[in-house]
Amino acid sequence: MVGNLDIVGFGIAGYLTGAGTKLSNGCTSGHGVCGLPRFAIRSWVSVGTFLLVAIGLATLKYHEPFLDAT
Amino acid sequence: MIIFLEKKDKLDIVIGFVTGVIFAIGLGFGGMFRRSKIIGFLALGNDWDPSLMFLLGFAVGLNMLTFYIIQNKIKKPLLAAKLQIPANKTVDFRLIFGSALFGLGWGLGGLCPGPGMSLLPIFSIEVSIVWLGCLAIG
Repeated sequence: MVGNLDIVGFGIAGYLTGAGTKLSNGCTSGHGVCGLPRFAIRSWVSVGTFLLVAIGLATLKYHEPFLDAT
Repeated sequence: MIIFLEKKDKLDIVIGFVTGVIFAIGLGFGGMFRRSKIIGFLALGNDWDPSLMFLLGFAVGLNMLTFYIIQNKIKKPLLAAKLQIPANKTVDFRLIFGSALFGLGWGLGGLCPGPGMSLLPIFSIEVSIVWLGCLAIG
């Protein structure tokens, strides 16, 4: 199943998302929807990085499931 | 508590609430509340779903137009004293490291902060307590 995740996974995901947002000063909305249209260099770097990493991890998890709820 | 605030601050709260509601409606229609939708977009495989690319594409494309008009033609916001535009242009390690962490969390959970908080009314232990709590800690 796509998007299956157990409670530990939710905790890790939430923590990483929160820490990442704080460190990079923005999220999908801040950097993606507001930064990209302003052609802010920081936002383009940030969105490129998190999109690549997210696609990489989600693809890995899709093919080799881990932290799945039973 | 709200009665102790200045009139201007009250107006700010109302504006913040209205724009927040509009944002949440947009997220909902776009499918950003459904974790399976996000993961389906991020996970490249047999049932890859590219539709969120159009969501982001339209959001960015439309904002390119509106931000251009606002910054170059209007210059003054309707409901605030002045525009607040970040001027920071330096790409540092902190930005890249933070973005990478964000990507890990997003790719794992399929939720970014906006939709995650918007899901609070549809209470679930996983999202509303564990995910949101860890988000706040992070």
